[in-house]
Amino acid sequence: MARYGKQICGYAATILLVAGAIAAHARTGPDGLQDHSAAISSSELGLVDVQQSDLLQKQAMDNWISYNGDYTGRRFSSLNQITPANVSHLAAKWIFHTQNPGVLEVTPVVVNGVMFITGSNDAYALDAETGRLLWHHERGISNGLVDDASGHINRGVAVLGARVYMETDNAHLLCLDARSGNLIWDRAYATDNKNYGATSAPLIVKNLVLVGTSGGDDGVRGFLAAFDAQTGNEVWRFWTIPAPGEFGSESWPGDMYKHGCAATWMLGTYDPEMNTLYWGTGNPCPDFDGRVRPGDDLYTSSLLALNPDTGKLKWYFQFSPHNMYDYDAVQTPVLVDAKFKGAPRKLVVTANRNGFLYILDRTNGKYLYSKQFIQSLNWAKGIDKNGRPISNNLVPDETGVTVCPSYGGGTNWYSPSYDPETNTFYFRSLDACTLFRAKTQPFEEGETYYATGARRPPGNLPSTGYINAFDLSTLDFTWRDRQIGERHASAGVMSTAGGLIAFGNDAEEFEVDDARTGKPLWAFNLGQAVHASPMSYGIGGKQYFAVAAGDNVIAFALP
Amino acid sequence: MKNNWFMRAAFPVFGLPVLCLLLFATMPASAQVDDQGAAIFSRNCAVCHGGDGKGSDRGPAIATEPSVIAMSDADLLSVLHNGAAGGMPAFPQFNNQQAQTVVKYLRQLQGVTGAGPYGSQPVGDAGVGKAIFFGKGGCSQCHMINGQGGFLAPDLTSYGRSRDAAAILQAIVNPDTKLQPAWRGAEVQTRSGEKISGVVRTEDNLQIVLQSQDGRYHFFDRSNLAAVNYVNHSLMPVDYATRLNTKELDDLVAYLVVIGRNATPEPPPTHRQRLGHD
Ligand code: HEC
Ligand code: HEC
Repeated sequence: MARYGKQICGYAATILLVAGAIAAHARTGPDGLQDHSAAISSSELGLVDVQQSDLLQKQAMDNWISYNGDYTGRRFSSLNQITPANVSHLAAKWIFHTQNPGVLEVTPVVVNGVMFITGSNDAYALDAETGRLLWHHERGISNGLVDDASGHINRGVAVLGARVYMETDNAHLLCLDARSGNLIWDRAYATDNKNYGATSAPLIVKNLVLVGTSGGDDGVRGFLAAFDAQTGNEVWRFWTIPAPGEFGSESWPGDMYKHGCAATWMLGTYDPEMNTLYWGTGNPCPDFDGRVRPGDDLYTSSLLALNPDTGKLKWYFQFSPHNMYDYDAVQTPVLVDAKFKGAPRKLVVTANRNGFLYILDRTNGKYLYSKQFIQSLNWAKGIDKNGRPISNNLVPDETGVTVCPSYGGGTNWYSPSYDPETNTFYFRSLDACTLFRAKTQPFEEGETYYATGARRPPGNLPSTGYINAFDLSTLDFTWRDRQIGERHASAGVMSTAGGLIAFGNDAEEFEVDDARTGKPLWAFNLGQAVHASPMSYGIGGKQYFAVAAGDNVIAFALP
Repeated sequence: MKNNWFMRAAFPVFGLPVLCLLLFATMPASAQVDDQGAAIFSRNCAVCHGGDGKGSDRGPAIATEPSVIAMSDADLLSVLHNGAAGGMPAFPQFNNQQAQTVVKYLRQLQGVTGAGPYGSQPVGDAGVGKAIFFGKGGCSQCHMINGQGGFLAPDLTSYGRSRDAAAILQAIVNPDTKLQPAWRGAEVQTRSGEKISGVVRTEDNLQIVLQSQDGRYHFFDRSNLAAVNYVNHSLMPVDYATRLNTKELDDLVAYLVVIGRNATPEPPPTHRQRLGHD
């Protein structure tokens, strides 16, 4: 007994004596595959300690550092190992099953070979090479929520230093230890209306964690809030619906401003050189009944440009004034530095739920260009020279009015992508229509605030999904690929330096196409719906794609 | 701080051989996992209460809910026999021995040893205990409480919520009596002779992932390793019974109990596996 003990102790002591000795990555050797310009030296593998310089990286290489991969929101991977020539060999590497019966909408974040994902209020850290679980932060779902929050949707994490940040279904911001999943702090940030929830991934800018809320069809007052990443103290809050007396308040009689929505339910983008944050807002509330909110309903269905240090508004651009068709403007505002009509410009490009693609000057919010991408679009005649839609005055009433694009939008929160090499903007769209009805209703906590309904209109109207490639040089579509499949995926697009775009298709598959031609090259049957946007990362010289499907995350690489 | 504490905390160098002898000579027979209790629980209870008793959307967290922990064995036996309003089925088919086995297993899940009544006020001074936890005791080098401390050992924020003082004391002074697979240490040696040690975070027949004290994960193919040696021993220092006096230990226990009872009860995990995996 004693001898045995001594042996073990001696042994344990040796282990502890050498603790701290660090070895190089021992798992993946050079595998003879085509080289790609890996940014991460192997000495960093397995270490999660995200610095500002990592967040400011202009290229997404081995690390996919944030929800969109970088601050521009272009969801473009500079990895080029997987190409049109070899993509036919792409194969599934692993599946991570979350035990979570919900459908995941997460985009994984990968830091030095460690992947972070969320599903409902749970967070997971995985070995990104094998999909094996490193830790799991478990937290039960909240009861008594409404609408999207009651679906417990969660789109992922933000990482700074050795800390992981996520929102919960009931709008708490959690700070977790990236090395263990331990809870460091928990801030409830939207408590004065039960209809608040949160579904987005947070965005880190400098030492701030930025969060918005859901509840944008449920009569909340939208805001964007910034918390100190270290302490969790609130630093500023920008209300997206003006209070009485403030600019724009004429749309919000009485205490309507408390229920006007303009929710900030997707994360924005950030331009470090301009020190400007770009953040989209949702539709007004009540959704379909415009009578109770006269005027433009600022700052709903808008793009906001804010100073990230103070939360002060620099400018705004409203895509859909006085909207009555649920046309949120939370689709990623992608920051593009490119020539526009011959001159180099700082642009922000976004495909809007209202069926138009917009190009704005992101230094001042000036409207430059728009393009209709939904053929059946009938709510507006077009866009005037200032960027304001010329409305067709289709007003929902008790009988109903058919409006296109539909309630689900010409496009939606699922990611667009910009490929700087082809100067092309890729996005998914849906050509469909909805019969909107309206009836004046009071706001009630615990209930949605659509002020009546939306349904499929009678007749043989289109319902067609497309993946679109819009060339910013020619200002025209290079190609539009009509999607075939049983049901429309809420699945974003990404592009890569390998000349590919990747997305979940309408046949519940993960598909990779040639970015230049749109030609479908390869698809993998996931057997479950994709309601998420894909990403790409690298480990030890190997490029991976990962995408959430159903309640799983699945990774792909060349053999 | 960076490289030495781990070694120092775990094994004060000069005392090492003595301690080891002491430890292995006096270590009580390690608590056997009650296989029969576990089997009955996983077959009959886990479907609603979770494999670890921490609850699901079909049944409450009977392992951590203070009101259930506070129930006497007799009350628990009666609930088993008669069921309870609100969806708890009766299990009249259990004979006495089976029923007692389940209750005993539930007590294990609760971390209740029966050595002291749950809910009694701890004798120590929680404020002093906190200072020891983050200072002299070095506990926070491995453990976290309310977001402060280390990450190599379990977060102890809500640990004291459902445990009696005697069980907590045992965990501190006799860490080896209840080794937890989730916190197992290992040292691997690569073919080039390099040695890396840390806590095993995941492993299978082909791979092993260690986390070293700097928080970094090390990923290995077993085929690239010359040796994998597990530490059959808690990473927690084994000398607290001698390093801290009775008063200091009581203070630590009081701190863990008070912090635990003040911890916001986590909402029970809702999407749990149907069958326990422990
Ligand atoms: C079909 C689901 C289900 C199964 C199976 C089940 N329970 Fe329960 N149990 C419940 C529910 C629901 C409650 C809560 C009842 C209430 O509201 O008081 C409960 C309550 C309890 C309580 C607390 C009673 C109280 O008064 O607070 C104990 C103890 C308990 N169960 C033990 C067990 C054990 C041990 C088993 C297995 C032998 C088991 N349960 C199997 C659903 C279940
Ligand atoms: C060198 C790291 C280390 C230090 C220092 C340390 N512990 Fe631990 N402790 C552990 C590990 C690892 C475990 C997990 C169980 C095991 O394998 O022993 C643990 C387990 C525990 C447990 C049981 C937890 C559970 O979930 O069952 C308690 C209580 C505890 N420690 C208290 C303390 C206190 C109090 C101190 C300071 C006096 C301390 N520990 C110092 C590493 C440490």
